[in-house]
Amino acid sequence: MANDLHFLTIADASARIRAGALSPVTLTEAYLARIAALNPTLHAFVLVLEQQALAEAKRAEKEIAAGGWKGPLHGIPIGLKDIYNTAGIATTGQSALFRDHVPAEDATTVRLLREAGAVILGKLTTYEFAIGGPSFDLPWPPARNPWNLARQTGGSSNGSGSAMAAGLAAGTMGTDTGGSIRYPAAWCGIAGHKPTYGLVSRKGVLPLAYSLDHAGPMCWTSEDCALMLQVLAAHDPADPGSANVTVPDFAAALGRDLSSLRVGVARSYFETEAPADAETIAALDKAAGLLGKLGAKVADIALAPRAAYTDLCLMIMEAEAFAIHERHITATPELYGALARRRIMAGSMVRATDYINAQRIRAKLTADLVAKMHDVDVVVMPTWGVPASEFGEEASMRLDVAFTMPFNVTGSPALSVCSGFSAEGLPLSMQIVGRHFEDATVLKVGDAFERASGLRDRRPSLDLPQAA
Amino acid sequence: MTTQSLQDRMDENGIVLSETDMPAFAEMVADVDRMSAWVRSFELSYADELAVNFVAPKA
Repeated sequence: MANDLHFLTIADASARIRAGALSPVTLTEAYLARIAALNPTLHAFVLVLEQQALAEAKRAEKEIAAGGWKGPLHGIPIGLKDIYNTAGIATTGQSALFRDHVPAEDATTVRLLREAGAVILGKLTTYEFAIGGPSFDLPWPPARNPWNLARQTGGSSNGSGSAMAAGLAAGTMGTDTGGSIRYPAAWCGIAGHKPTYGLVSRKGVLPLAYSLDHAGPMCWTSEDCALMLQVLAAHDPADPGSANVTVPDFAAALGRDLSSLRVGVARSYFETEAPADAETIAALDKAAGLLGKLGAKVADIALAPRAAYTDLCLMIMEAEAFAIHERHITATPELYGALARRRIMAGSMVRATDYINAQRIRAKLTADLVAKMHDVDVVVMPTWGVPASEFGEEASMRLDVAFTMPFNVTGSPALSVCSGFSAEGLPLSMQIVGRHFEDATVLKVGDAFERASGLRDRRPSLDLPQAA
Repeated sequence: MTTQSLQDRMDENGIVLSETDMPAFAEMVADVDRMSAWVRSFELSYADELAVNFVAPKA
């Protein structure tokens, strides 16, 4: 299976491309063929840029042949969640409101990916404006889960999760305001990294909630997330939230040895506060045990209540989303799908003083986590407390067992990796949370776990539809 | 929260929704009210005033 081009990791494909053993054109053609065969079933892409992608791949091939290899993303096919602005190419936010929205400029992150030589395959399905849920009343249907087509992918970066699990792209971009990178990563069994707030620019990404939005990579492995983050992490004066920090070599920090690393297990979160299912807990305990065998010191840690962080996240998100959407959603509510419309409009009910005081409490709870993380290097817990649900009402999204929102509130780096599989063959998840700007440590733990667990060898058994 | 009080609040904010949206919306508003009540119960002192981070001017 590792020889299937569409299942190569970025690291493997890049090594072959650099060595002249694999053409970016051949790789891009393999993905385009895979998309043509599976996207009518999976709905992961809303727009495929076939001709443009092939032209970019041919250019990359020429540049590399001429000795101009730019780095690990050169000639690598990437998909973009359809809230990343792309110059001259529709960026719809999956909404009828933005059906004809064609930006003049690329998002900063898209520009960085292009400068690194990446091939842009197309635009990926999202919850409408990255909020709401998997909706069937939008111009495009929600993506389906390659591990079980009757199941949701998680969201809002649902096309990114589906595409990565099915081998429709080598890497993808997602965004995360309350978990939207890590949630689909969890339910699709891939690696999704929400960087530290400020590390990756949001300029040119359709906003949902300014103080909670993060942009980041979704890949098959943590190593691939590190390779993408190397290109994406850069100070951007055009993003007021961008941090001017020294960017480390994320890939160089990877390695199996975790000795001297201290791992806290946020056990109360998933055992008592928001009980996860038995398979998820068993997988988490097994994963924590494996981190111990790799040299880490593992012990339980008590964090401030999950519900406090989660309530703050939802309240701030809804208030900021309404501020952004008020003009359009009050004038033309019919152009929004029901799930996004209701969630955004609920933000109108947050009083200004409550919003401001929520931000003041947020600062205290962030300081509390920073203090607790003096004693550990990373904290682990499930990303989501259950595997993927079938499509259904809002309750089917299982926000009641989400463990992602605390780290949007604190801005901490947080990575979701596959921790195992349920008896039904659905992916289970582990979230690895680090200190601010210690993304390299988080990725190192994820990479070490993935290599030691062997879980990256298993892929969904999607069969290509038979030709008519 | 009565149907009338919810409608009054919607009118104040320019919110118009269909009848099919209303049950789920009412649940979300109830959740907002629960979260707001929790925020108001949190003890914040005058000295916490600097806790909110504003974007610093750039040189």
